[in-house]
Amino acid sequence: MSEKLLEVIDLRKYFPILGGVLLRQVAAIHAVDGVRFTVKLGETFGLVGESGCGKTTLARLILRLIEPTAGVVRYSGRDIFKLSEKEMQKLRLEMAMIFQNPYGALNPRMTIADSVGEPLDVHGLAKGAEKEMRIMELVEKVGLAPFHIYRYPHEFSGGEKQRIGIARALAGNPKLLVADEPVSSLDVSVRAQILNLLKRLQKEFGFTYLYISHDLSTVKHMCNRVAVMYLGKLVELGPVKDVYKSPLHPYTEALMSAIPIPGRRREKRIILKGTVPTPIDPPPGCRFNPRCQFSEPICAKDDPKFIEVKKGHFVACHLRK
Amino acid sequence: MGEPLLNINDLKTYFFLAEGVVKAVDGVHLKINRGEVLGLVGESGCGKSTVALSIMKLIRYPGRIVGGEIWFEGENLLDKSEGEMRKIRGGKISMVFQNPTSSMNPVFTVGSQIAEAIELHQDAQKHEIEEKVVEILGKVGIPSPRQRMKDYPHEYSGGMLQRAMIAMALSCNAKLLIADEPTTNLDVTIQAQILELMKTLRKEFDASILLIGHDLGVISELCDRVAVMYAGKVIEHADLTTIFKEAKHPYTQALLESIPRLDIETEWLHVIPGTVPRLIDPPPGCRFHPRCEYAKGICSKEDPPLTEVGQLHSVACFLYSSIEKLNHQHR
Amino acid sequence: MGGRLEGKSGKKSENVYKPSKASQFFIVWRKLRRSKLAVFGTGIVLFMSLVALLAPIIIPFSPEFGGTPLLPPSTAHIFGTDALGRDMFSLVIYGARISLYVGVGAVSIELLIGITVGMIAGYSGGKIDELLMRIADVIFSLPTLMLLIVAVSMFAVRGIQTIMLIMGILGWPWIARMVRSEFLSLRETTFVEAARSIGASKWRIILRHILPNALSTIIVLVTVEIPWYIFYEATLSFLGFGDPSSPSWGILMQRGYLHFSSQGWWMITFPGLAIFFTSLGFNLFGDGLRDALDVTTRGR
Repeated sequence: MSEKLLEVIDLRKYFPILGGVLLRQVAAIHAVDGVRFTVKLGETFGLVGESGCGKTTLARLILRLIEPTAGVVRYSGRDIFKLSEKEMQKLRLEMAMIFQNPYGALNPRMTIADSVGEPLDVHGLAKGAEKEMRIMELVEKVGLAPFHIYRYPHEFSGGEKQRIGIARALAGNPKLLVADEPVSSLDVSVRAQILNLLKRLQKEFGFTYLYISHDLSTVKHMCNRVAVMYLGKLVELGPVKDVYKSPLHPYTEALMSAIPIPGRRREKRIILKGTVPTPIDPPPGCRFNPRCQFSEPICAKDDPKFIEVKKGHFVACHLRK
Repeated sequence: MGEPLLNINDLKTYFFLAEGVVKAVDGVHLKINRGEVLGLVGESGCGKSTVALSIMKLIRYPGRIVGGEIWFEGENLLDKSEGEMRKIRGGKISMVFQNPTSSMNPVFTVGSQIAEAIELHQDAQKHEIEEKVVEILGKVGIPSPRQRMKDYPHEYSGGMLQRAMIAMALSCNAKLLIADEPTTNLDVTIQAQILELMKTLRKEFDASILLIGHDLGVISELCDRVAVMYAGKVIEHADLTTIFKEAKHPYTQALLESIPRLDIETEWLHVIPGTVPRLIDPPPGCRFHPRCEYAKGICSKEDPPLTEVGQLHSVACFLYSSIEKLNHQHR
Repeated sequence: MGGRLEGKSGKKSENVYKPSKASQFFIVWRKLRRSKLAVFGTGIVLFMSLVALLAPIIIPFSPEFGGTPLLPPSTAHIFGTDALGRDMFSLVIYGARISLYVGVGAVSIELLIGITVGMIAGYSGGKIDELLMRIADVIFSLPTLMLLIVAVSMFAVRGIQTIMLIMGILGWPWIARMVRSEFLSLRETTFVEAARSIGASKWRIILRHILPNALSTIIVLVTVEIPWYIFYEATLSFLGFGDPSSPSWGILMQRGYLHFSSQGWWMITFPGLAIFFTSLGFNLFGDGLRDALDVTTRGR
């Protein structure tokens, strides 16, 4: 039984919309609306969803870059939202983030050495020659030549910048790495390099990954388990093989059939009608109901609960129980 | 089949910068037949967007088309004046871009922008134009087109705006639709909608499509034939099944093996070492040779021409026959 | 499961390409050199600064020297003499010192206040931001020249320092606004978010991440503000509200105008040209500097 590294319980984040002369709250964006899942030590947990589903907000909540409206996030058993500044500081060493945009993620006026070494500075982990050596080690680990650590970000390509971002994430010897679309901005041939690197590092250091992406093929390649998110809620969760081969939720089914496969033309594709509605003050009932081809009357009334239908396979749907 | 609709012969488009000459398109050969969809695949910087802009003669300073011919319906577009090109653009040849929000003018309604396109290319009265706009918006799947044509671009979602762009592109009986990464910025489910739409419209309008992109899956959904570009040149050209099952160029093969696939499970993805070369200073000989695992002496000295190796299958590689044998050993 | 990254692999520091701080300066200098206009501007700025610094040494005649009045330009007096027989050339040189002193001084004051306020407002946001910006708005809406005139008339002593101080105090809102907008946009960048995720404190983010990136905008602002304040002071003096005991170019122009504008064109023209060239120089220098400080362009 694998140890639970991360436990997310009923997490919610609502962004208020202010209006009127006195700027009172008139509505709220339900960015994350009651999310529940656990991440086991050493696994790669995938989080998929299209734009606006709330996955990036969820990532920020887990790293406590923003405060929740409600809910609990337990890291190694401790509720991170109840920790003091100081305790949270220490925890930040164990949780690191890899960002989507390698071009924006590095301060253009700081050398690579400064950027990669920043965690060491902030937490006082190393100084002087020892610090320089650690930086060189980190840079080498991600496949770059340490010779260049005093250069500036603009002198490197997109793939190299992403490697530098990964090196920075490793500087504090983290246990949990949150990767927010780490390869979406990169060229196709560079993606393979980064994905292989992430796998290699996990084999060597035993990291736990929370892999967030909208690209289902990459998620299948990288992850052990996957959760599907729609409009702030999880609609399905389970082992990658199960969810991809026999998806239970209609949205997951539509997603799977929408992915184009190189070399093949899909015959039976489920084409969803309409577009994703806004997460502002959602109507009652199942969020997916307006676009669902299996919609029943109950779907407009009650919000389906997220329940374990098969071993380790959860779904939130009235019709798939 | 007859004459191809579009026949590009040895196209060269260079950009003259202070640092040097960027040979963005350096001898490209392409053919599109009537009613056919050709996919132009390549990574960023390979020159595919430049090819599209060259066809439309929209290349501006410091770029210039320096050589080659672009035959469209029997005439060389490079011989035409700007006035003649303007009649063709938006009419017989129209284009859809990657980012619909920046392709539409935010201060005019969607309907008026489509109407403008119709006005420029067809003789029609005002009320006729309005009917055409409603009709074409309906064809691309915009609900309540009569109301929605009065809306502004920001009131449309990304997917709907892309549909409106396609409507605008097809409004004047385009024979050739150039779509430059039309679904890259869209969500997967919306992308599926747009691709279905393009399939339907292609049959209905009997238009040819030049689909430019880097996502091999998207290309597979829509295209009959595929051309792969690398560093300013077309390095392989074949029909859809051939490209995926029997690719002969090392770059194409490597590319196919480096993407994570839903249908194939591997632990490690194949990595193409090195990076895409800078086009100011391309490597001598075959542009791919520094990254090619099969490269031999001749590869660094001479540029392989596009050679026919099968029915409608061309490859620009000196070693394609020997590689085929090596590849079978790999698997 | 898991190794740790220790710093004990024994790698030598010599295997690293390490550009010194001086070489970074040279990269900026080389990029600046590329534009002829920028070089011209830099030349003027350096020249004027030198003139201002070395004024007491290089003037051919003492500013009080009383010779023949109203002499037109000649070999002995390159810029002629004024109504009291003073050598115009020496006066203009000495004027550089005063005018530049006022310009640099006023800008320093407004920068000090403006950057601090802009930084705090831009990063804190919320009520603090609102409050500071409203104060800035109020000051911003005041007519500077009017206020300067009023203020100067109120004080019994018309000192060049007072003028400088008031200009700086009235000028900070604009700087604050620029700095604030830079901060606002930089605050939303991914690398700032990355710094927060590492655990960097608010001050570390402001000083190490945001400020250096806002610096190039600020430096360019400075170079453009200096001639602006020289001009302001000249206007003030021309209108008669300056400090006659500190003969800046503006004072010289006022004298030239008041006394003998038709009989002695050289008394007003040369100080005017000096102001013009200095403004031009600083502006061209500022433009070139903005491009040269851009880290993303290569210095060749």
